[in-house]
Amino acid sequence: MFKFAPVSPRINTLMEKRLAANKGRTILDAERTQIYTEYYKVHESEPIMLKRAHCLYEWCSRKTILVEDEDIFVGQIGRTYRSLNSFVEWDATWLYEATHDDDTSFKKAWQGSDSFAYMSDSDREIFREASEYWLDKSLSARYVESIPPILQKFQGNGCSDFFARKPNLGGVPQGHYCPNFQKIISIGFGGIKKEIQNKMDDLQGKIYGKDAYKFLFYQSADIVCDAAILFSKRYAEECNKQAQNHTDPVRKAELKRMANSLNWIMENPARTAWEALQTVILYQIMLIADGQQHGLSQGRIDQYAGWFAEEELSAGTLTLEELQDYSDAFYLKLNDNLIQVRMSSNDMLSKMYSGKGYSYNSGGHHFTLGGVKKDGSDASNALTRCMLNTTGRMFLADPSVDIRIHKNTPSDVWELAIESSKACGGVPSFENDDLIIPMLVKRGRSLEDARDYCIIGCVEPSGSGNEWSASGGPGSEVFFNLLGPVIMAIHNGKNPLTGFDGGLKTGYLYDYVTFEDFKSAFEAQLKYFLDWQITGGNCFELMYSQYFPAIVASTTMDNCVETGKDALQGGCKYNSTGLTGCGIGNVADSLMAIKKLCFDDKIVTTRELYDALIANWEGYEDLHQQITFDIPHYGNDIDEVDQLGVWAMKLANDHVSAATNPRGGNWAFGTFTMTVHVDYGSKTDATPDGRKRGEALAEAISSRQGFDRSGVISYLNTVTKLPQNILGNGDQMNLRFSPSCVSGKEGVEKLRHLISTYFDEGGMEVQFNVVDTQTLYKAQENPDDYRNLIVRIAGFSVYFVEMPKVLQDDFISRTEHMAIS
Amino acid sequence: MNLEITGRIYDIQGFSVHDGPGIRTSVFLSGCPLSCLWCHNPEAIPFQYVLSYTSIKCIGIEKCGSCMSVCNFGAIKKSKLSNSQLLEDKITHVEIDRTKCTNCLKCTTVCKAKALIPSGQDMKLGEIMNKLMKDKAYFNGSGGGLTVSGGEALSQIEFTVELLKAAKSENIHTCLDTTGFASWEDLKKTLPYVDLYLYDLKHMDSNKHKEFTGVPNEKILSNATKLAKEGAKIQFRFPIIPGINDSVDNLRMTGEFIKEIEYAVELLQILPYHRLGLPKYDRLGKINILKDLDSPSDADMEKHKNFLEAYFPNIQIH
Ligand code: SF4
Ligand code: SF4
Repeated sequence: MFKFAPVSPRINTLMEKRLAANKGRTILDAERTQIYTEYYKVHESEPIMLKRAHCLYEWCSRKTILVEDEDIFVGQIGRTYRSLNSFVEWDATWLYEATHDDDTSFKKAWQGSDSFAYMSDSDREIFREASEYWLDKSLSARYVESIPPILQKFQGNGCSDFFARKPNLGGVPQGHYCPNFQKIISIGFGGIKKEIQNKMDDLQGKIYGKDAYKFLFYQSADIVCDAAILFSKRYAEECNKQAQNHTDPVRKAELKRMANSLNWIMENPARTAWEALQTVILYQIMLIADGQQHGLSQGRIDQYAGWFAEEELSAGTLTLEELQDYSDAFYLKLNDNLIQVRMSSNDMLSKMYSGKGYSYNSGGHHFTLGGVKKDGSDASNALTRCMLNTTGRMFLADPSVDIRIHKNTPSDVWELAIESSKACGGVPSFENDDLIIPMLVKRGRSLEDARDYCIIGCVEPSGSGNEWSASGGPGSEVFFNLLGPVIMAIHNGKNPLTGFDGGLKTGYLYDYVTFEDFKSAFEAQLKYFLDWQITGGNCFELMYSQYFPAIVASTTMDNCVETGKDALQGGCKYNSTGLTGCGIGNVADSLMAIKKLCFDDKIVTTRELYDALIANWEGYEDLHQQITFDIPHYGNDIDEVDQLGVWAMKLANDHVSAATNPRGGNWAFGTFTMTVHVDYGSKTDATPDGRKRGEALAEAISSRQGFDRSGVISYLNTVTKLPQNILGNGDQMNLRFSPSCVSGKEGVEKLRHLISTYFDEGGMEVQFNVVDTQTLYKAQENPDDYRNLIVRIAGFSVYFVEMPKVLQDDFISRTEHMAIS
Repeated sequence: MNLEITGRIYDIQGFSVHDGPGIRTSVFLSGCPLSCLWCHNPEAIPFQYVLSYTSIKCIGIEKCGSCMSVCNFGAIKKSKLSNSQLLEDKITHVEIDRTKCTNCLKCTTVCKAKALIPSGQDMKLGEIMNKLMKDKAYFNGSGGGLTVSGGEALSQIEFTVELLKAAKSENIHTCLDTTGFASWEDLKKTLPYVDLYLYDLKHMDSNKHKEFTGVPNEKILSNATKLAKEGAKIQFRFPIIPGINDSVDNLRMTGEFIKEIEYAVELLQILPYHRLGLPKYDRLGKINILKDLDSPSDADMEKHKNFLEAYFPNIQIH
């Protein structure tokens, strides 16, 4: 049996210490809020771009610096490890409520023995004061005045709850791109400062046209560079200080080495793998502090740090054991920094992160390993393997890891990736280079840049350091309920659950004379609501770009300094915006049910089916069962119904991809759902596929839960009929196997062949969980015994017992692909 | 090749990872002359389709009850009030009185919920080949292919041969999963089209074999020897049923038997008995006599493996 080697004693100590930190609780830390608020208060009229840069500088120069004895890398967002920040500039309402609660409720919520996050009394005071200042100044407070009034009309449409998501504005600052780590590793902020200086020199006394904006941009970017250099040097200073009086000679020497490096990096090019990794951490933390963080991906870390390691390994200045420790410590370091996502007690998205009313996540850290180099040859190196080892043996819920697979992926990389995925609930997931690279080229990337793609957020392919991908939408998720237009076409543009009545008046289900009539109505509604979602997205982006220019990211992104433009103004080399459709399985099944029941076989009239929907199937149980068991379902390799899914997906994809965004790029369509399929399901009325009111939608490109009854190959045959090679925003295929299915070397081989054949046949991504249903039921019953059970949901992994019950049930109900022996 | 010929099929499974090498699609044929106590596919034993009832799909007699009125034999009764998967309220399921049911299957034609269904269906060879061709990409590369299984596939010998032949003509690797309980004449017909036989060895003592499976084992053992002599490749499968066939004596005899024809044997798989089939017994209204038997422990399986290795080196616990 394959077994991952245990971590070194040093890493073990580090891990234990972190687990015990804050008694396992997350700390909501007020330091950033305090520094940013103080700056904003004093500099209210400063231009926003300069203000954001100055805030960062203030923060870098004042924030608490922490170096502990076990630390291999340094850097932390709060005053302690494992703390999270709040971003009051986006939203202060929840914080206002929390800090103005009466003392007993506050203590219970934030200081009780089972409270999920901890807030100290002194931080409560800081947050109280800050939230009072921000309550009417934050972005969410200005939402109404910032968004065109016509968008307000679309609340409750059920296709896109974009417009209903005002509160989430508060929690989810924009992000979803891969910063240009490569650039700071190779030239440092010192190098960027020179580029900026040259540009400013050219502009001195010669500001034409829009150059005034550029000049402001350069001034601000220059401050960001200074902040970065200062930030690193403050850690160097602390290391030096501790080295002076340290009693342990080994740690003393190490601290000195760290101080040397920290004095050098950020300003200058990294020289070693350690320096490269440390550079990534520090810049990442700066970006988080700026708020540009949700879905902030590390990209191809084994590439930009791994090749230093290769050189050091062959020069004998680094051992594999040391590199493995770096890798482990780096993963742990990311888990030191948590990020508040959203604080709202009844939002499904918030629950999915934590299962509690308030939530955190680490910002969607996402590594992309393996794949091909820019020249097309295999890119795997020693760090790729170390990181796969770390993934498989450390059981961390964060980061998400992807392994890029191509024709020449070495077999030991395959094996490590599969074993890791088996061991820890589906991490890494597998991405198909041979499909994604040509797709990106078609979407306008150069071949070299396409080969250098990485995965953002959940499953979205994007450029590395050169693309403002906004793949999770411009500052707010853009999930679209594909079943919404079906509802609209059935109810003449009305959403019976919310009373929304703003859809197209295409008629009621009983008005359609042919199946083609119904399809046309669906098509019209689909396009209509997609357009509104795009409209909303583009308006949102304008608002974000005005309040929160992405200056900290723009300082490094390819093309921004060259053109003197912020990323949000279209400064990056590539630009796109993501939109994601949910419930394709339900759409296919619904269309099929209408076709077969009402038109082909004439089992019921459209009126009867309509009545059954209105009754939520009550009194129509036999019809419901007939649909469930007698009508062909998407996911079973039955062309008639699968092709309806293909048709709908192509429609959506073509419509979305043709739309443009404010940065001069195009929108990209994808299909993954995180846990939104449960949320949307709860807001969607009964549908002809037999779905009851409120039931979850099918996730990602999957069939309805439990309706893939013909085994995994037929299932894969269905989803490879979808035009996956044009889904620019990515897609996602979840499979679940029982342990016996994939055990031993043989099991690994079979999985490998399954994945590579799926890819040959046109699959883009696949991830799998190896847990048996029995274990999941047990975990539901005795959560305490299964605290560390990690399962994969969409692009990220979560602790199973922390998910709310509905999501747990949903997860369990996904068909277990288990061949009976 | 006769693509119109029909077989009695009780199931087809893709990504069947336990029935031979690589990724395979298994076609399970109905009907088996044996009736092993531990059978985990009891639906496949009868040669005629029987009535299969899945209570969780039933809508309940309050809202439906169609089946009760069509049964001419009074075999469908009211059952208890119990929870429904579908409805908030408890519902009254039906219960099949197996002593009265003639398996005429009339009720299956009125049950819209598909709670009552025949235990299999007739399929044309052409239909099965279509399905195989769709799965073929997944066979190649993994060394997988088609496994014909059962029931006992040899009891539908004509169809089985046609199916194997058709698969071979498409260059699909073939396994035949068999009890070996058939005439040599029939078994011989499959020889040209089978790449690997998956061959069960349940008990070496013929009397015991008869006691637990309903048939003696002489024909099974002699068929295996003949297959070996004809140059067939064999993978033996030995289900370990605690207290029934895991005695030292039986293990030794099994080992000796395999050793004699080891030149033809690719692998010996020993399979721990498991309870997977139990819900199916409920569906068919049968009582599985072994219901309370536990699966053998990992340590026991390891012990048996070590013991058998003295006779044959290539053993896998499955
Ligand atoms: S016909 Fe089917 S659904 Fe109706 S009562 Fe009988 S078994 Fe139940
Ligand atoms: S199979 Fe025939 S005899 Fe048996 S319950 Fe159904 S209708 Fe009655």
